[in-house]
Amino acid sequence: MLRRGLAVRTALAFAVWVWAATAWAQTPSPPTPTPDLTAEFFSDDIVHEIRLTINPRDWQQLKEEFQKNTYYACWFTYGGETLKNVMIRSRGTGSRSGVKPGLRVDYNRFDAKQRFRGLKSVVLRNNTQDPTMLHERVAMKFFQRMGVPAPREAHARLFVNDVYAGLYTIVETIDKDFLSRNYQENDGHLYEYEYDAEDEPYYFTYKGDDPAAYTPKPFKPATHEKDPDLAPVVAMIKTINEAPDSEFRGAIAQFLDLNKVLTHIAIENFLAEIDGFLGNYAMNNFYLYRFENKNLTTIIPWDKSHTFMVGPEHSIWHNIHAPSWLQNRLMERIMDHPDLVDFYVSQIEKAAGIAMEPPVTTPAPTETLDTPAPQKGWLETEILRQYNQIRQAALEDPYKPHSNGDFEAGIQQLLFFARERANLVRPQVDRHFGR
Amino acid sequence: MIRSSAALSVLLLVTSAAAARAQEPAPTPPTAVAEGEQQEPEGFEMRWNPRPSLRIAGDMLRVDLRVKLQLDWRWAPDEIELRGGLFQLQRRRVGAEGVFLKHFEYEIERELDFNPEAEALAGSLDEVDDSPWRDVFVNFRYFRDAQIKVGKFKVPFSLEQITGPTNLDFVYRSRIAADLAPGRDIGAMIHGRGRVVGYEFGVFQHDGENSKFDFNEGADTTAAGRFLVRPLRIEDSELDALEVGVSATVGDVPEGLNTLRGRSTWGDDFFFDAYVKGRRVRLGAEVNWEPRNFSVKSEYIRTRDEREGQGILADDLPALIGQGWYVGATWVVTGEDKSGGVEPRRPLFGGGVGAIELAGRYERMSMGSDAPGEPEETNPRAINLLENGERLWTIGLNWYLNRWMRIQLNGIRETIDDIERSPFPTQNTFWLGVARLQLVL
Repeated sequence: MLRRGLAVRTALAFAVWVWAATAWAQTPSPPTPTPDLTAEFFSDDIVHEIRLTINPRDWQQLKEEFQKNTYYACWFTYGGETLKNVMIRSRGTGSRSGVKPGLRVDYNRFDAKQRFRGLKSVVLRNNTQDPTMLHERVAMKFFQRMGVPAPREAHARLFVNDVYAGLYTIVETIDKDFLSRNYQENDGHLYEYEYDAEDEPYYFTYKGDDPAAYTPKPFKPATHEKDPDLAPVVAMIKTINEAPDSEFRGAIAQFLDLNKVLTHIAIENFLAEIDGFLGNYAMNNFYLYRFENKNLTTIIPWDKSHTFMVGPEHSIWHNIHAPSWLQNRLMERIMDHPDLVDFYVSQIEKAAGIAMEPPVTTPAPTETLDTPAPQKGWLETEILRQYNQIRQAALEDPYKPHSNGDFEAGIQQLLFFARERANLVRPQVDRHFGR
Repeated sequence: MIRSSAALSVLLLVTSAAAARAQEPAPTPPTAVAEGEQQEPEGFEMRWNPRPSLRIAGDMLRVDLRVKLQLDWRWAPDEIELRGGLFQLQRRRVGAEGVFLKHFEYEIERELDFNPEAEALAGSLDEVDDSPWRDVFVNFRYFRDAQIKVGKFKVPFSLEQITGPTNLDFVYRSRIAADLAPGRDIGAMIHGRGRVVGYEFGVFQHDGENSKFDFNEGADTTAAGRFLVRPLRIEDSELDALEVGVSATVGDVPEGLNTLRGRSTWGDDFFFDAYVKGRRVRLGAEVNWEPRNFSVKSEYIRTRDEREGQGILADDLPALIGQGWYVGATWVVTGEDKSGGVEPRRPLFGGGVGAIELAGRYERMSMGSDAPGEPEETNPRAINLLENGERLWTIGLNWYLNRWMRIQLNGIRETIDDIERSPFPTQNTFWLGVARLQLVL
């Protein structure tokens, strides 16, 4: 009896073992994650070194004609790797400079298959509008910390023909690679908001049904250039402007996740952005991405060099409680919905919390554990970290338009903003919620 | 500056040609009195022979009025943008030519309603000019073997480029004639033409209108020469009509993106701009044979642009080479002679159907550089420029309604070598069609 029972149990165990082995063999192994070749390039743990080799006459001409978008051939060297057949051009709007040119680097302009570690292009921002050279990078880091996809950034010493050309910020281009990495798709319609200083300010107003009125300005196709398909964007703008109040929420939902829009605006306002979605010069500095096979569109932040420029007392209602002719039409409609306004303020509060939450990392190198500094929030700690990282390179930058004194003073103002902003925002939040 | 060795070589060519010419029987003057024309009368007279002609005091002044109109209808697949639209008034020119003071020939021709922006936009494929004035020159013909021509006229290079647009066998010139040959420029030329040999040698302000576009001014002062010979002067033989020739231009191209263009039939560039600096040399060879109602024409052109100091490291780069050739043939089915232009024996509305001519041409053109061992790249400072080119088949029918009017129908099959530089990413062969109505007085 006992022997029979043992045999049965053994047989059962064997059967289970065989079944498990068979099932395991048929289970597809999880896909090997594709290594991110760009991780090192965008690592913000160091100041990188990038070298460009370019015909001296081309470099001179690029600087003399910095307002033009003429491309010039060069070699691009990073990490011991040199890529030829690379093209660069001057870039930027207000930041363009003939002394320290902002650059766009295209790796595949003349060879469609060429990539640099998987990248087709990258921006080298000259930081001419920011004495600290940190606003942009800190702001994008903040967006990421708030859960909003934003370009990866790091600093680099740029050498041109072996001469130090200055401290630049490497900025991830918003393109299909960015979309794949952040949204796991990339074949939707991407538009860059384009605005020149001499253009009529745009507030998301409805300009009629003709898509041609909306492209290439203010919505320049960045993908599907030959088939920009602005019709859904036009429909969205029409809904923003003309949907009856009672139907607005339902009608806009197919186009925009208003919570995500409000999160974006809240971050910008918390960081005292004056040239963003609710900018002082109307809308600016963002991309729109309409997802594949949908009308749903998301906003992607771009160029945050004008954050932190005004003081920490910047109102959370900046350009929200504005005269109607200066008000963003979307925000104007949102303000009619108390729950959305509450959500906006809650995101401001969340941003304040992020700014002040204790950092996980160790203190900045200039401080020791023996003499701990007063408790710093994440924002202040991050600013200190980046400052210590770039300081030497920034001071040695011979082409920056600001003095070293401006740099140090700007850093102090930035740190002051980081320390005080949450404290000045919270009373505005409490006032809204009646606390 | 033109190197003295190049100028000396051309001068020797001219001298030997003149010496050979001196042994030939005296040729008929270039503007002989037309058949059936009566002796020059005195005073003022207006004639129609074969076009409106004004005579004043006999040989003192002769003014022949010229009108040239060409209307094109074009067809191309959707992928191709036909600049200027499907219908294009390709040429609308008026002019005057003739003789004054007996020994001076002249020609003045102007494009009507000239719009430089529209002309650039339409991508005129044969002649691009920033001025409405086409040929404007005076030719001193006192010495028949050494005539002197001054003004704006075609640089002596390329049979097909020198052939007037109303006398071409096809609607469009070959790509090498349109893009690599110079075209018109301002200059002075000495020339002579005999029964066996002919020569042309001149110096010009630049290297032709085909080299000038956008910001590209083309080469600086350019010397050009062309030498023609009829090697088989055999009485009553069809080989008597065989003519061969060689030509060359030499000039210095300034530093910049100043390359010659490689364009498709519809005007898109198939080769990118590259940085050049230094000597630009063109070499050409041509064959022209027009026995009775047939013709065979062929040309080869090679251009070479130096690239001094144009590398990334400001180093010298291998030269940019453009080259190509074509072979074309025509057959006047109705039997009229081809030589001197087809004139219908029985014009339309004159008891006949006019003259019918079939035509075919194969051509090839490419641009690149020759730097073995270097990777081919497409950036304008690449050591080895990635070559690209195209091949074309053109079939045509020319219907000469009468001596003034002609209809041309052409079908063109064009293949771009590098599909990635084709206007349509998955296709590099295209068919195009064009019909032309031409009126010439």
